[in-house]
Amino acid sequence: MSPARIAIGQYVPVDSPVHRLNALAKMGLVAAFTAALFLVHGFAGLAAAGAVLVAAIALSRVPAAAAARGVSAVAVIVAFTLLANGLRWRPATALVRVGPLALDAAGLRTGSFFALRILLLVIATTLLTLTTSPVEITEALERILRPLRPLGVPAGELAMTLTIALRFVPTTAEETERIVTAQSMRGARLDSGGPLARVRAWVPVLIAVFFNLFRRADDLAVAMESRCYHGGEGRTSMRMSKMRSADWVALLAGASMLIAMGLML
Amino acid sequence: MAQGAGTAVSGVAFEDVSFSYSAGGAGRSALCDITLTLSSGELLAVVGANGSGKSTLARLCNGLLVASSGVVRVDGLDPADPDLTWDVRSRVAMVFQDPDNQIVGTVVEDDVAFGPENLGVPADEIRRRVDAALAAVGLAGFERREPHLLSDGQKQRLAMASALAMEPAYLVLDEPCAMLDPEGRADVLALADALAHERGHGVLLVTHDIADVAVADRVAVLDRGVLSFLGDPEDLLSDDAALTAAGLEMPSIGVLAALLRESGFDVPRRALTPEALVGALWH
Repeated sequence: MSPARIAIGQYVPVDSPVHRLNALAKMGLVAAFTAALFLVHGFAGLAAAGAVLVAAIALSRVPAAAAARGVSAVAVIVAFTLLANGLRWRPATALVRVGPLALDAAGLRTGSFFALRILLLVIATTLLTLTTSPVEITEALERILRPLRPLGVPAGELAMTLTIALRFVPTTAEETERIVTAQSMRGARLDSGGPLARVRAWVPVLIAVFFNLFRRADDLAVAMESRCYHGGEGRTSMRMSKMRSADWVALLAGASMLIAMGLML
Repeated sequence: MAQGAGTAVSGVAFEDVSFSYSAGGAGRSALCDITLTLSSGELLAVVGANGSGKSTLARLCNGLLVASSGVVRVDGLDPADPDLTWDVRSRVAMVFQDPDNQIVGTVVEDDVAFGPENLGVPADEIRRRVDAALAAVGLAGFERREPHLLSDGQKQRLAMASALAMEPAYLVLDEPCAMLDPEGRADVLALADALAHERGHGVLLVTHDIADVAVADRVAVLDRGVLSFLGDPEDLLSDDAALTAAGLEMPSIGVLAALLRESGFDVPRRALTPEALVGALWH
């Protein structure tokens, strides 16, 4: 069994001011950035937002290619936004005409405004996941949801569930690989035949994986209870991930700057 | 914290304990009239074949299971009392067989912190306990490592560190070596030995492998739910009939050692690993 290094999420573990910033502050800044993107009413605003983002990427020491990776996932949406706004039916003026359809300058302008907004949004959230480990994001989510606890939102339990899911991703992946190997050795053909045949070949693999997952869940519950887990009530946290004064300054100054930018440009 | 501790006898004590998985005591009992006590600073091995009730006994120690009749007491406390559940479980920590299925944290130190976090220990104190526990099992320096990148033996030592971080008086190890390679097994046994004899924990080591009793002070043999032997491991190892009756098998090294003894070599009965046997012959 190769101890395959399975990357959870896209976290790039280098040290930078962006990495050191508390996850909560980072999530707050991404939210403010999003608000700013929806507040701006011209290309000047988008350009300013883009400049902020480029500066943040440079500061994070994350390879620019990694930050751009998220873009390919939304390429179709971006192209659709561009065309949906740019294409007109028999317009008076046009740049290019294909039959009754034509690309119109004003439409393209609107289209690229919306497309750029989507791109900047995706890159900003990608930067968050590149510079924040899944565990930190989980902790921050718990902090955000904590005030909702009186309303019956089980913040601690949700965070614990997420943490355990993250913990078992590599274990389950390794196990799936093992089952695939075992079944291939006994003649299962998982990578040949038509799409339907392949799906059918995976069924026994998935059954074995699910069976083991239920067994694991059972064992894990007993182990957790033995270690006194009884829900979020009265739990403390070793890492606390406290918001230091620097985090508060970065969050408040950054957020107000972004919102101001959105309102003015 | 320890209410009712006025009359407390220290130790994990079983008095006439029986347990049946089927309700109302119908069907065969998994355990029948067990009386034994695990004391601090003692390593008590519980051996038995599959289905002998070893794991049932382990799970009665911290209230995961509740005795059908008889009483279990942990330092005088009743594990079946819902008000005392967490008190009892912080005194009796458990380590299970499958190393993967008991690790909760996404990195090593988070897993060790899990128990104390559940007990509501303050952050600084958790940090201290995590560092101490990892040092105790020889995993200092692995704090930020992801559990799936550890060997099975290391995972099992991590599970022991996570148990120790609750600062328990007693540790119940339920077949901790069953899924380990010889090296991992030797590490875990040496650690169990040190925890009992150097750090003064009461350690209950459940195993199906008779060779594991070499590190024990006392050994209990379970045979289909009945305590068929309780005493010095050397007495058990010299009693082939008792071993066979309980469905246990003397490891081949033990058989070799017995032949050597017949030929006049002075080989201790606890020499049940090749290393121990070679060491004994060398001296």
